[in-house]
Formats: sequence, C-alpha cells, structure tokens
Amino acid sequence: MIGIINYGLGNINAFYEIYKENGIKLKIIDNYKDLKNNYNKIILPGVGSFDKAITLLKSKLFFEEILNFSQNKNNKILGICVGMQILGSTSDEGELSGFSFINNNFDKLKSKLIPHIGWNNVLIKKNHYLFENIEDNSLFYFLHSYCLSEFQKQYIVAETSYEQNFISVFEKENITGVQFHPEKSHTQGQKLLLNFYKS
Amino acid sequence: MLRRRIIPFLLIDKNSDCIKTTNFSERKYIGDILNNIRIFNEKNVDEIVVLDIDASLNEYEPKLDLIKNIASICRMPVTYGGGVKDLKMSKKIISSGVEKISLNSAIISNFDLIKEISQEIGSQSLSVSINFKKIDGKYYLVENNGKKIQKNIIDFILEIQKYGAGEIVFNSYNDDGNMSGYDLNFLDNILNYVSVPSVIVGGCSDYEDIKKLFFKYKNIAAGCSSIFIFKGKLKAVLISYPSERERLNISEN
Repeated sequence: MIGIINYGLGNINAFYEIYKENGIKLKIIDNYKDLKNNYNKIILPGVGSFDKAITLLKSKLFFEEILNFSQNKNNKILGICVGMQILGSTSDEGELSGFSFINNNFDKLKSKLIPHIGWNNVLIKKNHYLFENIEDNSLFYFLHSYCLSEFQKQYIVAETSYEQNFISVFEKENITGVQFHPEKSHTQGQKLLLNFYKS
Repeated sequence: MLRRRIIPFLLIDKNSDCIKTTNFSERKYIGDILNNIRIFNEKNVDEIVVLDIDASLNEYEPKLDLIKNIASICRMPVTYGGGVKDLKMSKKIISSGVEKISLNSAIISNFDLIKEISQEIGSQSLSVSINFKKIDGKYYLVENNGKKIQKNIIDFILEIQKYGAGEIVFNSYNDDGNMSGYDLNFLDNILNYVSVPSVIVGGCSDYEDIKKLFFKYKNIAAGCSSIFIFKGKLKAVLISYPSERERLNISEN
C-alpha cells in the first residue's frame, strides 16, 4: 500500500489526483498511528523550509514513526523537494537535524540567481526504476535554494546543472530523494510517480 | 540548462470569473477559470499565475476552496495572489497546494511581513509583484488603481530581496492589455539591481516580443495574458500557448 504523509506541507491533492487518474489509491496519512498499518511505500512531500518541515513532523509525532518505518528495508520512502532535504542530517537553511538517513548537509546553491526556479534537465547517471520510460535529459520543475552538492557516486541517480552541478535524485538502500517536483512536472513527472508505485 | 519560462497570467474577480483587464481596469470576461486552467494544463505550460484582483479591494479572504481546486487539477506549478495580508493566510494558501504565493507591492507597508513569510514557507515560494507606471518618462510604483506610491522602485527592489522575496514580477500599468510590447527600457533601468529570478508581464503582443526579451536579457521570464487568451482583432477568446517547435524558435538567438 502506498501513502503520503500529510504533515501540513506540500501539495497532497496533486499527488492524490495523479494516482487516482491511473486507478491507484494513494492513502493520505493524517495521523502517525496510521503509519503502523500495512504501508510499504510512503511519499514525503514538501514545500517550505527545512526547520519548518522537521518541526511539523515532530509536533505531529510523525518523525519517530517514519524512522521506525525505515527500519524495514522492504519499505520505501520517497522524499520530494524539502522532503528530500530532510532525509539528510543538516542544511544551511536551518538549525535542526534531519532524519540523517544520509549523512549529508544540504548546501546553499552557489548560483548567481537564487532560488533555482523553473524547468531544468535531469541527467540520468545510472539505470534506475524511477526513470523507466523517461528519456534522459528530460525537463522537470525545480523550486529550491538548497541542494545536495556531493555524494558518493554509487548513490547518485541523477544530476542537474544550474551554474553548478548538484544531485537531483539519490537513492541509498530504501531511501530515495528527488529535488524537483514530479507532481508538477507534467507527463514525465507522473511517469516517475507511477514508477515509484510499481517498484 | 534552465529553460526560459513563459508564464500565462490569469485574473479572477469577486465572482470567481476569469477576466482580462486593460490598464488594470476595463474588464473583459474570458470564461470559467477551472476550464481555462484545464486547457493550459493540456498545453504543458511552464507554470501559471492566478491573481484574484478583487480580494484586497473588496476586503474578502482568498477563496481557499477555489485555490485547492485549481491546485489539484494543475500538473504545473501555480502561483496564487490576491488578498494575502498575513502569515497565517500565506500558510493556508500554501497548504491548499500552490507552490508560490504572490504579494503585491501595493499592500506591502512593512517589510517584516516578507521576512516572516519567507522564513516560514521559504523564499522560493514567495513572489512579490511590483506594479509600475511610466509618468512623464519616469517610473513609479503604483497602487492597483494606478495611483502613485511614494517609494523609490530600486530601493523597494533591494529591500524586498533583503527580506526574503524569492521572485519578483514586474507588472506594467501602461502596457497591461495593450499588446504594445514589453517595456524593455524599464528593465534597462532596474535589472542590475535584481538578484532573484524575475518575470515581466504587460504588453506582450506576439512571440517576437518574447524572443526580443529573451535575446536581450538572459534571466528574466516572460509573463503573458492577452496573447494566450485572445485571437484576432476582435479579440475572440481562444486559449493558446507556444508549441515545442515555436519555443525553439523563440529561444533561438
């Protein structure tokens, strides 16, 4: 079963509608206790700031429950935008600690114009189920000021360039993060979300 | 490479009707907002901006149900503006599912609001719209009715950036609805002071105007409404958007 964490940030409805159009029931998880049910995939959406996301997840008691969920390596977590950033340990944007599934800091972009807003190419660095039937170099929608600038090569799925290179998709074990907004990236974004469901 | 953005701007009034203005007034009805958005959706537009131009004037709160409906049918990012006056409302609007909120220069009397909102929802989700008007060869910030505001535009730009605006939209009073071309002279005056992504809207009459804009300035996005809404001299309502091939031509230098 696939669910999306409704902690007050992110476009839950857009995800719900995309899956619904494809005959898939995406459960909206409003309460941390529901996460104990038989989910094997969850989406962690996000539009907002790093500390805000962590604070909300903690105040709604999702934080610990998501850590528990991740312990079972058959369970998958997909973090999107700030939902990706909080999978890391820290960010230049905030003072709180993230989930630390990956032991990385998210750095402020070094580009001249920040935030990075708009459609940019996603360069696939290794074969990955998320990009099945999606062409290399496809455009996805980005809206962020912080990024994962370095990571061990084996965990890098895709990169994007905005005056500097950064990692737009990573996967480490059962934890995946995408920096762009697939729910707002037309057909290719929908494909990616369906690929996550099918995986 | 970051693609140059071409953004339809849609206005709604107090009845939630989709309208188009000229010089910020003279309204023309252009159909159902959700229907128009569905059509833009099918045309794979880069993003869309929806502004409720009656909310501040008539002092009603943003219509959250309508915003939710808009956000859930959009497969592209949405910016919402109109009647956003405090942090609490900004959060409600972002929770409704839009990516960015737009604050208008006309209602910004304290910069702390910008700071508050950007810290909470992130700069990337805070767009500030600047109404400008050319009077006797000089540019002024104006209210929605065209009345001058006693603030220097460049100072205003520097301030809002300092306090956390993540995007600036330059909205031309003189060119609104007139299809008279973008005011490139205005951009010459101010772009050196802009350090966040920006958009100009008002005056676009055809794809050539966008091409000229993109050729001359490497970063600014093109906001359009009339050319994507009307067709022909009689201005029949017909939604359009450049195809992939037309976009290639527009971006060609």
